[in-house]
Amino acid sequence: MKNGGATRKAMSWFWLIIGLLYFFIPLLSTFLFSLKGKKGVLSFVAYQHVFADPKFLQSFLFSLQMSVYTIIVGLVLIVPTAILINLKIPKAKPVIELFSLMPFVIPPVVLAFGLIKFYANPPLALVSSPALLVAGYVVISFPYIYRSVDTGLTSMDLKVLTEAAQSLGAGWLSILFKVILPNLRTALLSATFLTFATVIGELTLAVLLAWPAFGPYMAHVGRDLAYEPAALAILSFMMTWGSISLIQFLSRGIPGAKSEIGGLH
Amino acid sequence: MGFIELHEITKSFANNTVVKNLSLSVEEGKFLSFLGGSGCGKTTTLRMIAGFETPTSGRILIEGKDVSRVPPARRNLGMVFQNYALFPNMTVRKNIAFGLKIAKVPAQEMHARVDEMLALIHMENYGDRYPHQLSGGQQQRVALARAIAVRPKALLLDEPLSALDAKIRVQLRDDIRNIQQELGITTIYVTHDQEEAMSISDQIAVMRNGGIEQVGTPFDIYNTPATSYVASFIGTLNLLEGYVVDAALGKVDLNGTTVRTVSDLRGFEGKKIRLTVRPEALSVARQDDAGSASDVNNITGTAERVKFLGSTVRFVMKFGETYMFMDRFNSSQLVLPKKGDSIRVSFAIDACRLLPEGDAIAMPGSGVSDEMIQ
Repeated sequence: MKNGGATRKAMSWFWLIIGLLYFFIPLLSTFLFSLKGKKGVLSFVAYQHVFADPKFLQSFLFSLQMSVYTIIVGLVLIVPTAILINLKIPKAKPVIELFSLMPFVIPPVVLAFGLIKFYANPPLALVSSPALLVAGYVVISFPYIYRSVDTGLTSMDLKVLTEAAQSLGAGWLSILFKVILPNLRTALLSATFLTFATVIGELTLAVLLAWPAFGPYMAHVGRDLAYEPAALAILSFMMTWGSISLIQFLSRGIPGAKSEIGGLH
Repeated sequence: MGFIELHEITKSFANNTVVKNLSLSVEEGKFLSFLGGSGCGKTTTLRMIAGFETPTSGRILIEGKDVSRVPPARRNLGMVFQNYALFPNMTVRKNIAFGLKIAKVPAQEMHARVDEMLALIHMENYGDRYPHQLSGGQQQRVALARAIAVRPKALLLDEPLSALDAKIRVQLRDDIRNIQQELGITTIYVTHDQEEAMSISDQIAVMRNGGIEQVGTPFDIYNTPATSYVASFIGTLNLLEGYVVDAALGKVDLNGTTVRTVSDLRGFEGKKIRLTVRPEALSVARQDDAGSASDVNNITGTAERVKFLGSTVRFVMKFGETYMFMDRFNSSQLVLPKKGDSIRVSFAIDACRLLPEGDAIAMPGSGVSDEMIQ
């Protein structure tokens, strides 16, 4: 019995190490490659080139701006919808969950052409407006926002908390801002950072709608240069991990909160 | 006129009618419990009073005012839920103060009221804790304090103790009753636990199939049940089958032994009937008792086993093919029979009640189920 337990423990460690190697070796290789910008020595010259390029900052700021709009529009649309579905029409939940998977099933290129076709002519001529890009980003971010919020709502026992607040005289606005949203903080942070990470790296919509976003910039650099794309990949990876760490850090102080990333605990 | 009145309320969900034509009146300051098995409609009725469900038909009056369509936030009723429903993002103090803040009670008065509530539930030192730092019993105390802090017209409790362990349950139900008495607040309590309902209530409404079987004091419900269902649902019941041999004198033949009952047996001459006797109404017959006393019945059974229930001891015996229970107070003088011993028991003729054929009972088949015998 004791030997069996030890073997199981050794096997767990073995698979964990294999998993970590599988994950970190490519990352380490990319990082090492990004340091070989100067012949014969390891240096951060590729990173210096990246930061020195004005298009880097411009495209990054543009994408940052778009991600803020996407987060605001996405949360304003999806949070009340998820609350309404959980409270009033729980039977519609499977339908919404199916919809939330659509961005994974329908390629972004189809979404982009659909948007261009639909919004090309008056009175909905929005192709040249960044609003269309934001709308597309909201669709792509829908699964991350909806699933994060839905998991948060499910774990807080929304119906009973709402009824408790109602019995104490609270109206809908008080319930939303004093009870539901404070208890959704972790889920909202998770939705926010996942949306940010998605928008920052998004390529297809930005290219097809012709916007100077960070995704197309990275693709452009990858096509023309050797070491800088590796540096950008590492920077992009660090931003994603930075976002996830921030979720963990900011949700530390929330009483009884569990960290949820994209609907997973 | 009652403080809370339900007038022929019905609630249907799609094709399922959960509450049927229910009428009830609760007097001011009284503690009424809805008691019944799962799916009898007790929680739905409470939720209609609270305003979380709207009756399909009928009216709900509070202080004479029709509130059937008034939203829950405007009914001013305190509600305590089964799973506490404390706001996880707020401390105990903030939870209790929530309703007061909504009602825009001045800060000084609000703090005083919160302190008063914390003292009432004996949790003065727990004000800065979060719900997840409290035990289940403590959380339910806070939920109770939060509900009564706003000085509601009435307090509604939906199975508030069912998630707690036995010892805490007993302690907390006494606390709930004491607080209710202290504040004199009209209270409606939902439970499936008959002991809980009996110990805490001024009145019990026994519910079945969306309707009320009987409303009465715990004493009345137990001792003079209005229907067979109530008789068998509350407490333990011995069911004895026999044939009426003399309707005028109330004589019934049970497996060759004639017993008497004070129930009206007219119309049952020669017919099969069921009699009921509570286990505590039985006692071991005296040796010199020949069974001739006009107000006592004697029957002889065979001992099956003895169950210790703490303060009482339950004798399980077989009378013909029927299992019977006899409850005695536990004492060192108690003589315990061995399996197979013959036991002669007696019971007063007025302890023996008629259960009409075909009338539903809470435990189909017999008052004594197989699990109870184990």
